[in-house]
Amino acid sequence: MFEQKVHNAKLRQDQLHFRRQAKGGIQITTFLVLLGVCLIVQSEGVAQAYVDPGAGAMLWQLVAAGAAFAGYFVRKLLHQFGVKREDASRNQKERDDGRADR
Amino acid sequence: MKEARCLSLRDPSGRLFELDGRLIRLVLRNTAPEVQAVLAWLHTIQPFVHGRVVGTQTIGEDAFRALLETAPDQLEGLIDEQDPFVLEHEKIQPRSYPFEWPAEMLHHAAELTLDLAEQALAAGLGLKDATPYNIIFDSTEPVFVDLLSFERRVPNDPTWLPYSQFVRSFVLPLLLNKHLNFPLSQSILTNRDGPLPEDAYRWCVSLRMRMKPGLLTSVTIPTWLGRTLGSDPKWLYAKHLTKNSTQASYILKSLFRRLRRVVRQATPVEAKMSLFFY
Repeated sequence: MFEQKVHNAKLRQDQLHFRRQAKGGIQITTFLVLLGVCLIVQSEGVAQAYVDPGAGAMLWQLVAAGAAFAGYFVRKLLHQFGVKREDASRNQKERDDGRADR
Repeated sequence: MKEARCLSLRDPSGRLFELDGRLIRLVLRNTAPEVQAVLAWLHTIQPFVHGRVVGTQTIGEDAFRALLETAPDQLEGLIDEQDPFVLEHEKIQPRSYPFEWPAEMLHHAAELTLDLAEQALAAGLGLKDATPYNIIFDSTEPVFVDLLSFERRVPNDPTWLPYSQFVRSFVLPLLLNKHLNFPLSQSILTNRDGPLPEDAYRWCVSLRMRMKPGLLTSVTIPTWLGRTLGSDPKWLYAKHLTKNSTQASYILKSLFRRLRRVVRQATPVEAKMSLFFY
């Protein structure tokens, strides 16, 4: 009975420990995000040279194009994988049918 | 003697002029095949473009010569082509200008521009400029009037060059009007192509404002990215081609989808009318 209680208490302690660790992880992530935002805000007004008005939009378009291309690549990969799986299952079925015929 | 006046400003592919109340467009010979391809494409999607693209018909050479003889003095110097390809456009009256429009009209014009850009993409064509001045309202419906804005696209090019112009002339005035009550006339009149993202960034004073949907991707991120570039980013404007045309059109479709989302986010809020004190 006493051992059971000790075991339960240990379990509770472990759970608390994990929760604290998880909270710590979230806090670190929040801290990093805030730090990133602060750095970005801090860097305002540093650029003094002439900047082409359309340059930022053009670069953003290229970044978005890169992301879209990644999506295209993943989609194509998944599609190929799906086709292969379909082919494999069709081949297996054909093999099974062949065995049955024999 | 009939009256003739030139209406084109800086069009490299042709010239539009008004002759006795008719709108006549001269297309330079080297651009004519492209314009003919555009006309053929518009014909194939007639149900879609009906009422959205200005009605156009070709004029034969004899009819054009006869037309020229009606106003030889006024047209002298306007026409330097020996054998021009001539079009006549349907005239839409009364003409209104983007700086006179309410936000809803600019919003409709932005949607029409995106619709046409998407349709053209499927036919291997593209819009070389995206400005509200290419659109005239026929009563309450927007009509695209600048046929020479369509051009053959480089099939492997995944970039849309007028992207920045579209954002500046349609999206930013709408977003600034919605979030800052900035008058459209001020946005469009002070700069023909609309406000710069850098200016809009300054006007959105708080970080919370800069993070708002639409403003983040049209103002904040481009401004931050612009600051990371050098003074002469030539590499940025070099052609970035994909391996095949399918990849390029996939990327462009996703760009138009994204722009459509931003335009939706910039939908003007219905003004509430207060009649309490009347």
